[in-house]
Amino acid sequence: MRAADPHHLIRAYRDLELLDRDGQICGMVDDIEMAQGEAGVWEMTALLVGPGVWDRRAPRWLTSLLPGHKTVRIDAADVASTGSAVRLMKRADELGLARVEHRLLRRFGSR
Amino acid sequence: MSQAGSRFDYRLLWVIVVATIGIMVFSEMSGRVAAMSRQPLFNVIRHRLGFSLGLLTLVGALISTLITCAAEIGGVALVLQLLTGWSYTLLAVVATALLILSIYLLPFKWIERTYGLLGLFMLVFGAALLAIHPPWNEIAGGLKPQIPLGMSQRDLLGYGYFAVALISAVMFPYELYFYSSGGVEDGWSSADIATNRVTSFLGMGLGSLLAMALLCLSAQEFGPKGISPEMIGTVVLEPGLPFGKLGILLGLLGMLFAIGGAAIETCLACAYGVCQFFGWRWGRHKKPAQTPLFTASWLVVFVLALGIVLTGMEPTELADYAIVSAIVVLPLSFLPLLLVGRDRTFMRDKANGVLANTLGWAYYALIVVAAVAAIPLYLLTSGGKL
Repeated sequence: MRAADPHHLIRAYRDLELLDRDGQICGMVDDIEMAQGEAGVWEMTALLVGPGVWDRRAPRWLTSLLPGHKTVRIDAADVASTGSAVRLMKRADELGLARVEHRLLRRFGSR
Repeated sequence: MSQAGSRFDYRLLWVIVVATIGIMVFSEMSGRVAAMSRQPLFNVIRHRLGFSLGLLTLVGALISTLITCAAEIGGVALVLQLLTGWSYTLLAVVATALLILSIYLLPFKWIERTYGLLGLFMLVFGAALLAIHPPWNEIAGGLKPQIPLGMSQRDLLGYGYFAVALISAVMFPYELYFYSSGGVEDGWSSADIATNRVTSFLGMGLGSLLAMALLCLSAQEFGPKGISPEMIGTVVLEPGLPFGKLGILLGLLGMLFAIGGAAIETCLACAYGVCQFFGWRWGRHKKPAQTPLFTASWLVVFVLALGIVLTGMEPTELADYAIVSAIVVLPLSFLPLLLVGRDRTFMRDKANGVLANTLGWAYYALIVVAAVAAIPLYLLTSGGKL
């Protein structure tokens, strides 16, 4: 997705639910990466997901209470669409998303 | 409700009516947003408020809802104690275990039916009101918005505190977290907008009619005798006055299932909030093993709520804390709803009309005022006891 104003890209992706290829919830878009093209147009290049991103968006006293520091980077090519949620082209485990949940699902034998 | 009736007779009835219209407006809006955007309330909160303010809302909502859940577990234990005479502490543990087993073992529709239908025994309070032939002209007078004249400053502060507490009790935010999540999970679409409207209006309306019956019974039976019904055991005497032991028994059973059902809802509302904020799988129709973090979340909430009960705090004291903390969270919970409700990008032709927008923003102003006044009034009146 491209936009003249980077805020449009932020509004279009950030803090939306992520759904994988199978329609399963697999995280939230915690931040995005953007690049400015030659014509001055901004383009979303990747979605960033995980607690590693939270520090730059909230006071440290708040995020220090939350566990984990990992960040998963999802390339723009793996994003199918955005609306009220962001849909991905691949399954969550292929992208390294929702790892704790998948580990628990394997342990309890339910996917 | 009962304390408000005992102390100020019918003069706070209008607050319940005003707050009921408010929760109907926001409930209808949350269901419509769920149907059109397929997003539950906490997803909307995070998207509109951002991570930082959204997290603050989540933390506030969790604190308020957890205290509410603790008050409800304590309430169930008290009712069981009145029915059996066993130890309160033991019954709190038993009640928590039974509630956990209900969610774990029963399909959700059975939980809804069991607790919902048996909770209808609460209608005995409405029947009791009719049976005592209350002064209907005075009740009608209480429906008119009023600030009573000639009260002392202490009583005026108490009146203000109970007005804010009633608004909070009727407009508990967990109701919307729960309702909108259900709408998303049941796959609501634009075809369900009319059903959502009827459900919002009837569901919230029935609860408030019972609340009004409790207030009126208390105003009629307790106020003139100088009794302040601070204990569940006192409140349940209300249907006992016209109907004897049977009235008390039906009242206790109604309270048992109504409060038990509410404890399940508040606990699940906490789990919805956490899972939706962090993007974990959630759902009350799925088996617990299919939503491991959601299951872990509601189990932790129940254990924490039981821990609070076991500290020995009275359920009524917990309810006071829950009511004050809930009103403080309301503005942050409802603002994103108003913003999305009017956004045609998400809502298309089902965006808020003039009436929904006008009522929504008017009620928003009211809850902001109530939220600002809640803590000072609580402190000045010692939770309505002065």
